[in-house]
Amino acid sequence: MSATPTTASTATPARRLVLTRYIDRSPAEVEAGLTAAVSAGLDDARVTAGTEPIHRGLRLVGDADQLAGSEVVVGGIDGLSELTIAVPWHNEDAAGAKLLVADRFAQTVAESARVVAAAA
Amino acid sequence: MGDRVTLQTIADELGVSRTTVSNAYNRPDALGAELRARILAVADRLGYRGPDAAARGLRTGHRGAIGLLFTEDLRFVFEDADTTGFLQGVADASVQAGTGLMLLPSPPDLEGASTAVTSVAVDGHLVFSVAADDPALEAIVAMGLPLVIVDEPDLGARASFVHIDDRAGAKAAAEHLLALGHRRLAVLLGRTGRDGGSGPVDAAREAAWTIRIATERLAGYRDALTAAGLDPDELVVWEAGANDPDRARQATTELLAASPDVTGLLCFSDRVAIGACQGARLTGRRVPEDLSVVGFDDIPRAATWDPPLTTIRQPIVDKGRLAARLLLAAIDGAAPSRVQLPIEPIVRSSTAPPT
Repeated sequence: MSATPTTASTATPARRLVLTRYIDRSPAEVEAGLTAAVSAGLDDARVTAGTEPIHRGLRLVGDADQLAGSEVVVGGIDGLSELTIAVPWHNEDAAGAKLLVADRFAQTVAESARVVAAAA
Repeated sequence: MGDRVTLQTIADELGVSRTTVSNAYNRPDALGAELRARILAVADRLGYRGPDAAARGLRTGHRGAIGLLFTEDLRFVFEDADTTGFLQGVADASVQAGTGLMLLPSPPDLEGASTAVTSVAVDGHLVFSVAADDPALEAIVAMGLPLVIVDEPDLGARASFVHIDDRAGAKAAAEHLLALGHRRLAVLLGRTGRDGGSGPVDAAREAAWTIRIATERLAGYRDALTAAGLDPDELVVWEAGANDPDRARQATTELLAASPDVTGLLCFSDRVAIGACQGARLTGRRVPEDLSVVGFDDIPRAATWDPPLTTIRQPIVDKGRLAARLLLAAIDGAAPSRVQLPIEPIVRSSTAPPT
């Protein structure tokens, strides 16, 4: 039986990297400081992307390099927020570098969100 | 055999303090090169292998190692390509952090498991795909050390969690077969719990599963059938009992004897799919002409198998690397987090339209 070339299918809804960070503040507090927290994350990642509002969060727009198209959304319950960062994933993203960039971005945004919410 | 050699033994031999000997290992910059060389030479002559990690941990509060709990026999860790890839990623991150790695098998009883996990000095634990009722997991959670769980079980916000969207991956696999025109599908699962049960699955058996992935993937396969307007209850579901080609080969022959009209087989893993291909041949069926087979994981062997396996790829090395990074961050005080890694359907030659 002869082998045929490998072909990857087109993108599916599951082709996203999703990172969730927990913050011991209410979702409303975290959402209020989300723009500042995301800005801190973008500064740390050295990208100049902007943001646009989406339901309960922000989407990165413009030149966000490996984070392009990412969405940052706040959920959770009173006293415990879930900060979810969904990063689009493409075939050429198989290397681990994008994973590490996204993980660091998520960590920075979460830490900044915690600080901003605590100061409010 | 003489008495156990300790730091004090070496100190007495050299006529220096125990602290000086300790510094030769833990603070080498605190003493001269010549003295350190003399200490290490005497230690070597006496057969001393270095300070006791647990004792050092008591002093510093830091063990310099992470534990990795597997539910399988340790030999499986080095046989299974998926697990080996995961281990490679963990090792990458551990080396970068200068942290040791300790492999922990999971004994079947609570007492043995508790002894196994509490007798080692580590700063935190990685748990790789263990059943929700695994006694070693219970012992680890009770220790209260930083914890990262990979694949399962999902403890919510109580522990960091690294996983893939198993349900979406399974749905994509089934959608592929349905798009090819298959209508009579079967699922061959690997391990669904600690009992290693095999055979056909009914509702009572399914309710007893303690492996989250099995439940999620079966739901995904059924999602695809429902979306295609087919009855998900028509899906034939069978357990091989283990993520093992030999068990899968046997289970496939039994499945095909019980349901000879099946034309598409959705397998829990590539290892199960490899056994399924062998089992299909034993029944006189050709893959993919008579039976299409889909795996899961995309282990290296999937691409070189005859026929090369259609499968769902998961980034297993990155999974290990990220899990270790999250654990190291947790040891440094970071809050628990979750990461869902992307999957990718890979179409190769083990699937074709039904004839």
